[in-house]
Amino acid sequence: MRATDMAEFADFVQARSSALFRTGLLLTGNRDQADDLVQSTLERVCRQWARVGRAESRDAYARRIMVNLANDRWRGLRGRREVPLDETDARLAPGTGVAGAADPYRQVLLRDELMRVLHTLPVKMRTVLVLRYFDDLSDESIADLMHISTSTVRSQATRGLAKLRAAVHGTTDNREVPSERTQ
Amino acid sequence: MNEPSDSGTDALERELVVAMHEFADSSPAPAYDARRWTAARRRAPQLWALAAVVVAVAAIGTGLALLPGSASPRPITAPVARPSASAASPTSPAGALDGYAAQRLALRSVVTAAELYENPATRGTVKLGQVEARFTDRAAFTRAWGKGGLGVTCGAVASGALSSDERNVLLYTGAIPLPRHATFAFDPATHTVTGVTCGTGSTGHGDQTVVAFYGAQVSGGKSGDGLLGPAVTGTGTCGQDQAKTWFADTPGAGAGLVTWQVGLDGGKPFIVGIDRTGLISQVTCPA
Repeated sequence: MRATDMAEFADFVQARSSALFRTGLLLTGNRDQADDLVQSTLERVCRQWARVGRAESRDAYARRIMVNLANDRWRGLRGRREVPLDETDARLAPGTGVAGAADPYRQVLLRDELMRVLHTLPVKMRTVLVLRYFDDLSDESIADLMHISTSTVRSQATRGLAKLRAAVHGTTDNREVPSERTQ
Repeated sequence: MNEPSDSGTDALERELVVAMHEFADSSPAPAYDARRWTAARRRAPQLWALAAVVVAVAAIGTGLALLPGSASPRPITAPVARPSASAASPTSPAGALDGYAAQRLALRSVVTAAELYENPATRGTVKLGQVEARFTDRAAFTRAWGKGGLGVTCGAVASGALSSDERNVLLYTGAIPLPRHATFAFDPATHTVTGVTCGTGSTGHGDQTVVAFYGAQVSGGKSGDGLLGPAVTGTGTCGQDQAKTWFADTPGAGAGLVTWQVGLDGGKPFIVGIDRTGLISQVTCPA
């Protein structure tokens, strides 16, 4: 690696590692795994730095590597980590003790539930939601990054939102919550 | 931004966005050191070390050349080296530095100037013309600077600040956090400041040791003394024991330490290393 490449890579790590970690945290739901994911990502980015190309593409390139790594790892862990959604729904059934409408912390708990359920979603669905709502990428960009079609992105997002909404319904049990019931 | 499909989903999506950001903010990002990966791949270790020293010296020097403390008892020295001869033109203060470094240096200069200007004892050391040069134009400076620099520190007098990136600044009175943080916006072409906004809530992450130790230093207290590790022989201030303001930025990591660049009263920043126990175990003073 040339000295100029090293300096550029150091700048990239300095500038982007925090953002990568935040996305990694949402993808994994776990600080240690996010840290590990970012380190693996940066190791690969470093190894292929000379081929990364223009500065504008580096962030997308790193993000793509990270998403692929997250997918690979999730597949390897699927047997023992993924929580079936029907179990989640059962856990979130009405009357399970989650704070009610009069509870001032209702919104906080609601967001906690959203994050908890998010991390039970299938990895592709979760990745689409994270890239769409956290990284604010367009559906076209997500499709390009994940090597899937735009229609798949949309369907995954729709299904993911539906599952989150179902969990919120179960959590809040007819209380005033952000969902289509508020129309 | 992706458009919500209906008003119900709109509300759920908004909650999801907020929840994601709160979750991501709940755990500070570790500091990653690129040398962890480049070290295994470098072909010329001496060249890399030399380049790192040159870049670091140039970055420190270029930033300090426009810091407001040049009239202070601790004069600011000229940069030893620069990435290029055009590195410090008024319209492009950081010249050949990358955008991140240029913005970080501009942010450091402006916030340090505001801290010094807000203290009557150090106000005279601030050269407002040099501060203004960090902004896109006079209107941007006037708007952001506000009355006596208070616009930069979100309406409260600050004597300490910590920035973990090139945009956001946590503000303190000594070691006491102020309720609002400042966020800088930059012109992407010139890396000059276009504006400063203030917000509440989490942004970036602080460092309890840095805040407690240097906050105590500028407050004249000794409460931070217990944070100095046994390996540090001096006072942890590189001789600037009577400083009135502190500023820390450029977090890094290496050799088991988290590092920050700390500047006192706008003087030359020094590097502070904090070990896993939260003690300051290394202080590298500038030559």
